[in-house]
Order: sequence, then structure tokens, then C-alpha cells
Amino acid sequence: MPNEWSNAFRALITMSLTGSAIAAILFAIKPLVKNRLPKTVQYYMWLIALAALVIPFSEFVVLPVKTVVPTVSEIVSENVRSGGEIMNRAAVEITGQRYSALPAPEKVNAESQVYWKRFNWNFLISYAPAYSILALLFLLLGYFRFLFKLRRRRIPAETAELAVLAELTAGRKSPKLYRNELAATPMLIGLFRPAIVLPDKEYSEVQLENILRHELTHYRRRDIWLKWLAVLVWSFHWFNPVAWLVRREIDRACELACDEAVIANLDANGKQNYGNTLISVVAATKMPRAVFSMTMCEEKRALKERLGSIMKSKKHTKLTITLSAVLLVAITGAAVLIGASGAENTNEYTQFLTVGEKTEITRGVMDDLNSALNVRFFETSGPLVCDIEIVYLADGEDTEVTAVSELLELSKSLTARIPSGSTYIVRATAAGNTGNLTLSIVQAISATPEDAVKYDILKNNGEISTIMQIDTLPGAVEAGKVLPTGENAAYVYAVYTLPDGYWTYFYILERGDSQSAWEITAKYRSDTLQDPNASPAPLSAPILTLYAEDGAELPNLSDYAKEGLRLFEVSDTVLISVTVPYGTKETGVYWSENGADGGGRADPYLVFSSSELETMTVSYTWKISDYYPDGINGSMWVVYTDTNGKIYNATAGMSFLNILYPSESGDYPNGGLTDTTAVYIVRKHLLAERDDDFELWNSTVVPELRLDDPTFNRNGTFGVNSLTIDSVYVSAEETARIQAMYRGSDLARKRGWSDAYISNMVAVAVNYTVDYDNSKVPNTGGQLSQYFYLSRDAENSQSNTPWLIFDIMSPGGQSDTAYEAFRQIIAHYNKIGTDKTIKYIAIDTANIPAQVEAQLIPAVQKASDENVWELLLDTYDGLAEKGYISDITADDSISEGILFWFSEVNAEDNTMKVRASRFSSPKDSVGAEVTVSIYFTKWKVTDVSGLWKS
Amino acid sequence: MNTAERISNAELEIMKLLWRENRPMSFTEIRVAFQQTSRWDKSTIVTLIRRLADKGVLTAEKRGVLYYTPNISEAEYVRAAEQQMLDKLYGGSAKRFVTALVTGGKLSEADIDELKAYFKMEGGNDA
Repeated sequence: MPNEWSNAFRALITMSLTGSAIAAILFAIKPLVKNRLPKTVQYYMWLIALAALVIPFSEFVVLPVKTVVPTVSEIVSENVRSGGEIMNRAAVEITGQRYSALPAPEKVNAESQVYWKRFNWNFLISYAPAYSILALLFLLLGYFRFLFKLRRRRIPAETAELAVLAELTAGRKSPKLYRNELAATPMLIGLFRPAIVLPDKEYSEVQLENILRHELTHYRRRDIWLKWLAVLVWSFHWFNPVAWLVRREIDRACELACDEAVIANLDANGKQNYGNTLISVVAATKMPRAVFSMTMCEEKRALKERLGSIMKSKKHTKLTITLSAVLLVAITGAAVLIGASGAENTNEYTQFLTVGEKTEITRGVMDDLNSALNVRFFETSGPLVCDIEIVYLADGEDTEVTAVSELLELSKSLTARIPSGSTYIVRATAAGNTGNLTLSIVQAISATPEDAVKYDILKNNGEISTIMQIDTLPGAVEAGKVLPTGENAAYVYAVYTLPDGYWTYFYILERGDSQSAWEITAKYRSDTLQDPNASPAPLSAPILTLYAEDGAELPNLSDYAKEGLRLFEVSDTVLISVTVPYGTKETGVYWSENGADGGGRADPYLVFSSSELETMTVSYTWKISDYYPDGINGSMWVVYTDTNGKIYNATAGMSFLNILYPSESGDYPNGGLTDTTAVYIVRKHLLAERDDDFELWNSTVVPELRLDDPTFNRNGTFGVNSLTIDSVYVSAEETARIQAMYRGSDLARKRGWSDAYISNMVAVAVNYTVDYDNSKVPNTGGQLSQYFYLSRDAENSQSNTPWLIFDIMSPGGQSDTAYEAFRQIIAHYNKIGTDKTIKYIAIDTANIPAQVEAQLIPAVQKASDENVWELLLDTYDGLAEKGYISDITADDSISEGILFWFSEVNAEDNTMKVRASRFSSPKDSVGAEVTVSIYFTKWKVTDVSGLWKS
Repeated sequence: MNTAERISNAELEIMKLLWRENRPMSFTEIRVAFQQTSRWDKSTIVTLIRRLADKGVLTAEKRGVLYYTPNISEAEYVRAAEQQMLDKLYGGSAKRFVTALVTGGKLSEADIDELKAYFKMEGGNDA
């Protein structure tokens, strides 16, 4: 809804509530005052209710302190806030899921689900004013038709009657008088040219006088105007049944008050005549009459009430007059108070400030849900700048802690973070001029995105596990949506419990400008990222029953074991727990991803087999998020082989979407998650490079790869201009490949890697888009794909030790860091300030380790192409033989060639030296030398030396 | 008089004819008149006339065959229709915009008597 409408809607609801509250009070006291207070007073009391429905007190009246009735504002806020965001809940019906066991596991169909949404009220609310206007137009149409029809048949009143009228009005303004055979009852009609209309009958003088007095009283009191107002107000509060009651009550009270005024100065006789007039007019009305009914219908009851009050009428004492006045004032006060409490909670404080003199503006206690205080410099009569100091006293203490102390200009605001529950004090000093200023001081719930989310969760009685602001949303959320960006957009990830489960949500928040509060514009559950209206995955999956091929069910299964055959998933679906009875070593649990077509089986992956376990109680927790961080569809099946070799199977299809950022606290019901899943680490690594956060970068890699010196590449930066991660996931194939590669290898033996350790290696694939500052680093940007290899120090997969990157490889086999050594040498050359341009690059591949060659050569080739060098792979002698050396030495002043070779290759500590010399220098002279420490394909330059060093 | 609301559109056509001709008409005359202008068949006209007679809107006079005369003049009918419409309008939306001395209603004679008996001022006399 547009903002103005939202405000208007809010005002309407506030007025409706206020009016209802006043009406409730009036109905409650009605039996008490009915016969004690003048009817006129009672009439005007109801007009107060009308006023409450139509006057937005909250716009004019500001309550200085939080009132005893803060609830109106909260009720309204609550409803306005959620009026536009009523959550659609989906009901889910899972049908047709069978868990049967077949020897060859077959395709298991996904759950079929039925969704239905709750009605979207937002639409209805936006069009509420339209209904009112339509209803009003309809009513007015009827009225004007009536007027028109009536007018055609009107005839002037008799002279005698006009005389009576003139006498009664005694020279003051008078309505017209007509007779009309179509009129059913004497009435006053018309807003601007009011007229009294009499049915075309005979009236005695007494009757006429009573009728005219009655209508004239209505005329003088402008009751017609009030009636129109009541209709108008009622049409806008059509949704509120209390408004209907109020309108009806006002009509009744109006007539009673009018009667009271007419008979005020009449004696008993006169009153009798008046009542008789009423009865006779009713008797004569032309409305269709039921001949035999004795029903107590509305009209009869109303008339009886009027007659009754005529009979009971008496002079009112001074006491009652005073009481009436008091009551009217009290009710008006209540109306204003209740109405004003509907105002949004802005607190404005006006204070006279003197230059140089610190004055306290206000103090208060921070609410539990708030943690920020917003101070806005609202208005001034003097100072344009003031010095704001905000301090707080921690719970129960006396010492002041300064939260903020800064200058604030007119129309600007500042925010101070104050711990909830503490007492804050705001002081101000005028700077520049002395004078009055007005500050608006608000406890802001949504000063930060996390605050806004926190409030949303706590309001729904959720208990928060984790709240974290994140940079981007998971790809599944972003797909197909335009997401807001910029400093006024934010994303937050939160994990919290509600009565119905444990949920992970992604929030999108936006704010109007840097001074406004954050508002949640969308939220997605992690398991419904594709469709926010989709239903959640079931919290607890069914129990599997193991069947053999001949259909026999596994016998003698203890309840414990049966209970354990449950694929348990937490709502953020990171955990699968399967308990199988201890069988032979052929007992195991397999996982298989769905194939590309969504069905069938891709290569099954053994999650665990009982041969790995040592005890009889077999319970295994497989954190699927470690391997499928973005979610997966697949099947889990359990194979149990008993001691006779009979095989039992059970299968379950599973589908879950996962999160990229796991919980930091790890308070999951079934064991913990740590913030160390492999994918997470790789993400951190890349972001650390983007942000030049060396400490973070070091925390993501094995010690051997850590950077001792941030200026490792002489520029003190990774040189990343921008980086966006498109996707990052565990690659099962690559993981399997490297595990196979290392298992039983010499390298593994040399390094003391057990099979278990190798089983704990994982390959993470990343696709990302990066832009490098090529004046700082040579890396080529663009859309890149890479594998990161991580391992963790563990003997089995149930470890919680952190994953660390031990190697990085791009799919093309190119390794930037192998090139790094080479690059540094070139950089050296360029630094020594020769005028000669490089013509040749030669590499003596004699001692080069094979894998190095595979990586380095393409990199150098690429560089050569870019720089228009010619790449030669040859020894010095070979080059000399082919004439390249002489080519250069002959052309001494223009070009140069550089030869690289490798030496002191030390397999023990994995270091070697990369040496280089110019073609124009003598053979074997070393112009530059770079010592590298090699860790797989990562080269770390540990030293640079040589004659070229300037 | 409720006749206005009880005359249907078809019946009104018969009435209009009678008003126009301003003389008692027999069934045959009526039927012939309608033959030109409408597609009503004999039985329809018979039914309509009979209904009007039952309602008391038409008086049947036997002069050999039955001759029919309206009991209500066109002016009266129009007025009754107007009244009825006005009552509807008043009963509907107009009553919210005017102040009436009494809300006219469906009070029976018995209701009126009851009210009269109820309303007795002390020291007053029935006027």
C-alpha cells in the first residue's frame, strides 16, 4: 500500500477503535444515566462517540508520556503492519508415499502435495474506501429520488398553519412548510433549504403546534446536519458493527432529546397532548398496516420508549446539570486520550538551550526489543547545530557510559546503540545560537536489519538461535527475482524455533533512506527457497521398514531399532540420522542423487557401513550439508544383511534444500553443527580475498599456506576489485577422484595420511565472477571455475574440527601461484630500469617437477601471448645453438631474453629455487632468484634475491 | 391501499386499456384489442382478468356477458404507485437523511390501543 494510504488506513482503524471504546463506555453507563440525566445530555454524549469516529485525535494531540492506554497504538500498529503482509500458510497433505524394499532400488516418487492459501486480505483492505463511497452514493441516490418524488406532490400549507409557524419561529429563520399527500409522517427534510412536510391531513391546533415545535427543535439544533454526518461516518466505518449501533443509538437519542426540549415547559396537560399527538400521527400514517399483529416491533418499542420518557420527565436539578457537564467532559477527555494514544510513538521534546550549557533533554529505559535510540533534530528557533550527548547506565549501575557525543545539524539524525534494559540520558548543548529546539527521540526497533528481523521473530514468540546479516542470498532465492541492492537493502539469515519447529529463514529488508527504519519486504524459508508459498518439508520423516526380496519383514527388530530406522531431518535439512540394527558388515546406508531427469539413480554413495563401526549400537549422523550445501534430491536406502546373508532393504526419497551459512552456535537437536563446513570455508576464503582480510584468509587455509606477510606480493593486496560467487558446492566426483588418487599413494604415506584422513578430504567447486586490478596483480578476471581442496584433522567423519584449504586448482589445471614466482622475476626485471623490452622467455625444464610444468607452462604461454614475448622451452646451450643468444647480444640496445630454470628442488621441505638470467648475461649467472615453498600446486614465494635486486 | 403493488405489469396493460377506453368492456372486446398489439393468447387474458377481478380492481357486471370496469382510476393508481415507491425509498435510504416525527411503521390497531392505554400523564387529561 502506498504510504499515504497506509497512514489514512491507520488513522481510520484508530478512530474506529476509539469510537468503539467510547461507545462501549456509553452503553455501559446507559442504564445508570438513562433516567437520571437529561436526554439532551445523553444525545450529546453519543455525539462524542461520533466525533471519536471522525476526528483523528492522534493527529492533533500528542501525549507527553506513554499513557495508561498504550494498547490502541499497538493494536493499530500490529494490524497495519500485518494488514499488508498477512502470511499465507499452506496446508500440506502428503500423499502416497510408500517405503518399500526392493533388491534393486527403484525410483521413488517425490511426495505429492496439496497447497492452499489463506485469503489475501491485502486486496480487500486497499479498496475499503471505495466501498464506503459506493455505499454513500447509493444512499444519496435513494435520498434524492425520494426528494424529487416528494417535491412533485407538494402543496403549500394552509394559511392558518403558516401563521402558527411564524408565531413559533418569532421572526427568526424558519424552514418552509408544506403539505404533501405522499408524506407518511411529518418530517423535516433538506440540508440547505430545510422544509417541514406534513401529510395532507387535518390537524387540530394542538396537534399542529406540537408537530411544528418538534420539527423546529430539530431545525434549530441542526439535527439534520448531524444525521448526515452520522451517515457519512457510518459509511466509512461500515466494517465496524459498533458503528451501526452508534448510528442507531444517535437516532434514538436525537428524538428523545427533541421530545424533552419540546415538553420542557409544558404542564402535565401539555405533555399529555404531546404524547397523544405522537400516537395520533402514528395511527394516521400511511404505512401498510398489519391488521392483527401484536408484535413488539422496533417502531412500537421506540414510540413506547418516547412516551415513557415523556411520562417520566421532570425538571433537572442543578446537581444533574453539574453531573452532566462533568460526565461530558470526562467522556470527551477519554475520547481524546484514547484517540491520541493511537498516535505513533514519536516523542518530541522541546527545550531551551543555552550555548555552552549542557541540558538534559530526557531519559528513559530501553525496551527489551529495542537496542537503538534515534535522535532527530526536528525544529529550531535558534540554534542550527547542537551537541548531543547520549549516555547510558548499565542495569543497576551508576556509572555513565557514553554512547554518542557528536554535533547534530538541523534535520539530521543520529543513532545510538544502547543495551536493552539500561537507562539512557540524552543531553544537548546549543552550538552557535541560544534558543528553543525540538528533538524527536525514538526508541527504534528497526535501526539495523538484524533488529528488524529480531523484532519480527520475537513478536511471533520465536526463540532465536542465530541472526546474521549476509551479503547475498542463496542462488535459489535469487533465481528469477530482482533483488534490491545498495546501502538501503540488506539480507539477513536467521535460525529460530517456533512451536511448530525449527526454521531457517532468509530475509530481505529495505529502508527508505539511511534515516529510516528497516522494513522486512520478503522472507523465505530455507527449504522453500523456490517458492515462498510452498509447503515445508516434513519435520520428521517416517520410519522405514526393512523388507526382504520375498516380502518378509525383518524380524525381531527391537523397538529401539525400529524407531531408529527413521530418516531424521531438521527443518534446515542438514542432518540425517539413521539407526540400523547391527548386522553383518554388509549392513550399510547408501545415498544416491537423483539423475538429471529427476529420477533414476546416479552413482550411489556409501554413507557408512557397519563395518566401520565398532559397537552394537549403530547410530550414524551424516551431515548432508557438508556434501550438498545447496540442497539435493535423492534417495537414501538402508541395506541390512543378517547373519544368514538375507538382505533387507528400505528406501526413502528425500528432497531438501540447504543453507550456505550454517549456525554458529550449532544448537541443533541432534548433535551440533559448527561453522566449519567446507563450503563455508571456501566462501570465507574468497570473500577474504575480496576484502583483503588477511587474518580471515589465513584462517581458511592449512598452516603451510598461511601468509606471514600481507605484503607477500609487494602490493599488500589481493587486488580484487569485485567478486561475486555464483555457486559453490561440494563436487562428489572430484572428491572421489582425489580420495582415490591419494589413497595408498606415496605422498600419503610420506605425509602420514591415514585412510581415514583421506576420507575426510573434500573437493569444493566454485564458480565465481571476479575482476582484478591488474595494476596490482596479474590475475585474469572473468567468470572462473575452480576446485578447492579441503581436509580436516579427523579420524572419522563425525568430527567437528574445521575444514581447511590445502590446495586450489582450477579445472584447466592452471595455478596462479606457480606463475607467481615467474611473475615476480619479470617484475624485478622491469624494475631495474632498462630500456630493453623482453623478446624471449625461455624455460629450462630440466629439473622442473612434472606437475609444475603442467601448470606453469600454460600460464607463461598466456603471459607471453599477451606481452608478445616468444616462449622457448630449451636449455641455455640449446638456445645458444639455435642462435637466440646471439640474436639478443647482437641487438643489445633493444631487446632482451630471460631464461628461467629450477634448482635446489627439495622434496623434503618442498622448496625450490626459480632462477633467471638474461640472455645477454653470461651462462649460469643468476640475475634473480625466487625461493618458493610448494604445497601441492600452491607456490609460496618466501624469498626474492639476486643481482637484479635494486 | 395496496393495490398498486399488487398489479403486475401484464395486468397493468389491461388496466391501461380500460382506462383509455373509459367504458365497460367485455372479455371479447379486450381480447380483440390485445390481438393487434401483443402475443397473449386467450387463456392468458382470461387469467389476467380473473386475477384483477379477484383483487377487487375490476368489477364484473353481467349484461348478457360479463363486462369489466376498473375500480380504481388511473390517477389513483399512479398515486398509489408513487406512494408505494416513496415508502420504499423512505424506508430504505431516505429515512437516514430526514428527521421524522414518528417512524411510521407496521403498527396494528391493537398496538395503537395499547400505546394509548399506556400513555397517561398524571394530572393530565385525554385530549
